[in-house]
Amino acid sequence: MKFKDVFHENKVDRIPEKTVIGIDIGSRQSKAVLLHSGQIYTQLIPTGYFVKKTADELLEALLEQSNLKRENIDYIVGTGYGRIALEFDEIPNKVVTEISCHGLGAHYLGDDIHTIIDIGGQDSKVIKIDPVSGKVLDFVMNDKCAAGTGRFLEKIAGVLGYDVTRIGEVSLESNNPAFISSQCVVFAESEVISGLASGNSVSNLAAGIHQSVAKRVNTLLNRVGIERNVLFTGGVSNNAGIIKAFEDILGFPVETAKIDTVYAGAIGAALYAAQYAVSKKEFDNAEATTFQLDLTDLQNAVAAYQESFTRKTTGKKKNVAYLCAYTPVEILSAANVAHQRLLHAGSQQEIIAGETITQSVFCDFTKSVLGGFIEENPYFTAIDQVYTFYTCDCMRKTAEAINGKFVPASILNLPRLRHQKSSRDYFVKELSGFKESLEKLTNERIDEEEIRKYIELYNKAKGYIREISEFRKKDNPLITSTQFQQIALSYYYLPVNDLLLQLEKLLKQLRAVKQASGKKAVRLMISGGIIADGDTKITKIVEEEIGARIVVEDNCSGLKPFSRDLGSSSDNVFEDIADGYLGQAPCARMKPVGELVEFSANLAIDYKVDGVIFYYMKFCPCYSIILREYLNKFQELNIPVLVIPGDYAKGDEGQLKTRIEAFIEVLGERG
Amino acid sequence: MEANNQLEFIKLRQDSSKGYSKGIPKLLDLAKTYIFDAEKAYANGKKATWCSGVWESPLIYACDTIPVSHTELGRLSNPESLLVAEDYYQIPKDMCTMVGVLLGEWYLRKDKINRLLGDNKSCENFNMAWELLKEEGFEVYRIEGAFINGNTPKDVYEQRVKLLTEQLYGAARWLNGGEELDEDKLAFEIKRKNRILRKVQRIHTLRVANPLFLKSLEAMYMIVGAQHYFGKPEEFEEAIDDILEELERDEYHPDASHVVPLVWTGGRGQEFGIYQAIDDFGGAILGHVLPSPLSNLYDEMISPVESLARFALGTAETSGNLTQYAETVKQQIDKCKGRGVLVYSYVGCSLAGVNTEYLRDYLHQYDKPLLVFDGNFQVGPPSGQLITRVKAFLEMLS
Repeated sequence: MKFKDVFHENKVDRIPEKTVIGIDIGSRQSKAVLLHSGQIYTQLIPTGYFVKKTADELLEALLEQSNLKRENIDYIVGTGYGRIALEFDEIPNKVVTEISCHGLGAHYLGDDIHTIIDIGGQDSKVIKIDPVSGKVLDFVMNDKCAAGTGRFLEKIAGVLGYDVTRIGEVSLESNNPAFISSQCVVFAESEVISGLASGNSVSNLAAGIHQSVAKRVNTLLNRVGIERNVLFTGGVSNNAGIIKAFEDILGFPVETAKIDTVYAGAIGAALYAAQYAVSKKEFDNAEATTFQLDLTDLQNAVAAYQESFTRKTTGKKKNVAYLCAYTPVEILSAANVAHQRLLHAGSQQEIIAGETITQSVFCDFTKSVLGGFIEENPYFTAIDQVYTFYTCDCMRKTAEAINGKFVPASILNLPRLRHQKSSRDYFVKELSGFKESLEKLTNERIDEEEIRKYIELYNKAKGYIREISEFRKKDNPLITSTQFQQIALSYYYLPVNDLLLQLEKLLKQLRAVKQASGKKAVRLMISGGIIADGDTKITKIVEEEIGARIVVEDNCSGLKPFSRDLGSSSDNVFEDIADGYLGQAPCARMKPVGELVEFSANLAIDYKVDGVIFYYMKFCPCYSIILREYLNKFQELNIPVLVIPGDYAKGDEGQLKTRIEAFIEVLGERG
Repeated sequence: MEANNQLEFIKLRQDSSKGYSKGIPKLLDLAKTYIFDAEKAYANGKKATWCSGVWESPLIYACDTIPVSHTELGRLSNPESLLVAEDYYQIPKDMCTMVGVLLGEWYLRKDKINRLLGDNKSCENFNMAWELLKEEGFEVYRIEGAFINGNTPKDVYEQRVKLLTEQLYGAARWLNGGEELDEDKLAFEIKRKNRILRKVQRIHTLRVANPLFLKSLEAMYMIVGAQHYFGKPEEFEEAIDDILEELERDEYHPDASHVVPLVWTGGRGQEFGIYQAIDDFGGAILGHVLPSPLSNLYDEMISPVESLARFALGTAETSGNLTQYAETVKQQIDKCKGRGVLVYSYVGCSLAGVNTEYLRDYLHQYDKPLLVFDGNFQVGPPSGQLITRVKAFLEMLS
């Protein structure tokens, strides 16, 4: 086919005269496109078990079609879920996410395309592009769930006796689409079977299923905002039923292309390849700093103290654990107790065990805590008493379950209204009650002067942590987020004198370093809910695999709790503590919630971030519901936000990497 | 004719009960018209506010305001409301369906009653939802909550009473447009509520001997209505008086020898299909452990505001302490000779899961099985799967 038979007429002249290939390895089908001398060659085969073999088959087929040889190829760009396995030693090549590729492909295929709906086998995406350049401006993908994907449609089509394309035509015969309430493929299948049993027609059920998929994807569309023109790409784009369902929801027709848009990703990849072949441009986030902060002493100190806590050899009378950053360590330290904040991201075994108490709707963090007790992790069995200041419901119920099944757990109240005098006065009394409870536990009086002493020490530690974080404001941050998070967590793990010693050592290293040179990496803030100890998926992908930098953590296990010192202006020490904790950067359960968003926005500006990853634990009621307000604020600031609901399950790193990589591509292109 | 939604179901039950009861059709009518009539009254200048409708209604009535319980919105909900939550508010699909649906409903009805009295003690989802409503022009007033459990020391408990008492005066000023509370009015409302609660307790006791007089959903309406009277105190009390009199007279007493007594706990649920299936297959819900318990009464010997605060702190039987909760369920089982327990939780509810699993373990020792419903807060006919589960559970207990 000639370019003019495929690309929009306004775009044909913009395609560089290079011989290039784009390969899109999808979860079900793999597609490849070769551009050469104004001609386009295409290939589509099922994705095989070995991705590399599939790519080789595609390449050979294209070469045979075009009578070209490998040495004639100027550049290859690989995309799709299997892109990371692509290797072409003898041909310049690069990997680009399918999000950028679908964006560019759609831009060249249609006229004035602003929005792309891409439904593939295992995921669905909505991509917003610049209609002038085809660059991605924003995107959103479905979560780890089959709802709204090609697989969902395929599965239900199978129940109705059709394939995924034919079912679309059948749905057009419907006169009364069935209402399918379930978004889960298993339950939707059950609903369809019930519908068949009760005599509903196949066409009505088929139409209902198409509407269900379209509604699910429409939620994604609303997230990025729908702008005409809209092009539909991906493996499901041939389905007439889904096109109609979208058009019904959108209220206007989707655009058509001259070629099957299942090739849009591969075409975009080929167009990127053509651009790279001309400019040799590459996204490069690599840095050239040689400084490495040495955390060995800190890590050893934490390990030694936790071992001592587990063996009950700290010399303290009781082992106390707590669940939230609103628990005043100053009071705990003044009591004769060893204390640890329970922060670990549990193993799969612990999470499954935790789920026997919580069922599935709790976040993996709470399941980890309960799992630690159930699995008799020695660190947990060494705990004599748990405290929690009632922050979220999940934490409260976790504490109730601990109290009911394992060790005594006390729940104290934390007011939600930060600025109300009666709330503050009440919190003062709760803090005093907390002290009394600790006195009962140890049978020892807590001296208020001792609490004052610890306030000073912890203020000093917070100051050190803030200073360490300041080193990340440099163009080339001296500390990775992985390192900073270890430092931040040590605040909750080490006795304060040991902590200060370690922080001083780290500062000494950092103060001695001159400004590092090198390319400036994309700077990110990670915001949202807790990142537990061991929950390294996001930071690893960002910092180790992609080479961007997380320069600040706006969450309760990162920089956030250290934003403010406790004061000493009141005669009543508990008033100072109450003011300090209520005044600290708020978590999402504190009200008004707009203050959390403001704090986050200021942090993003202060650390000069290019983008934000908003990461929250799935099922977290606090952070999931503020999304709209959060996104609106950052839209005002023109700082893009990538939203990732997380868990501690394994196996989703590929999809996460695609999303983060595409996000960083977007940020990179914004400059 | 089969009901396709809860309003239709109520209509059918009104028709079938009017042959033997004056009170039941009245009660059902109050449930059916509650939200619509409150919205109409508000449009006509009467004060009204959304609220939990569990414990605070005497205060709201004392401020000449109609308490409109948001949980009662459930029976009006439609598929669009959850879509609004997901599309407009970007609420993840794994979040509590109850709050998702309510948020959607509030958005769709934002031109109607747009004041909300929130109890900070409510779950996180509600607390977050209210923040979102502010952006839609809702006027939200929050009562700072204090949580208690069975282990709360007395002095700490008293501090919490004091906090809540102060908060209630603030709430009254908000309800009264800045004016102070008329405590005599509150005392009157507290007396009225105690009187109604006692009548409902009596009906509850009589139901054990005559379990088929009131059907399961009607019994639930009676319990939730005892908290807010569906916005019409005099009419509600009249309906309750009728039912009580009819039960005392014992003229309509169908054979209940085959009936399986059950205890209901968790959420109140708005899915008529569940209640219908339970009644149809020989069950009768005769015990309840709910966020709006019948067993608590207000102390009329102390200041009415403090009385309200103490009542509020003692309200949440289903929260606070797992052992206490499980024991309360067991007491209800003993009281009505329950053979099994029905647990209703909303999909995505983070509070219910731990309770349920703990309760399951606790009741295992008494050989009392549990059937758990994952409610989605959307009203429609019961699914085949639901009917199978209810039927099998009742067959097992028969």
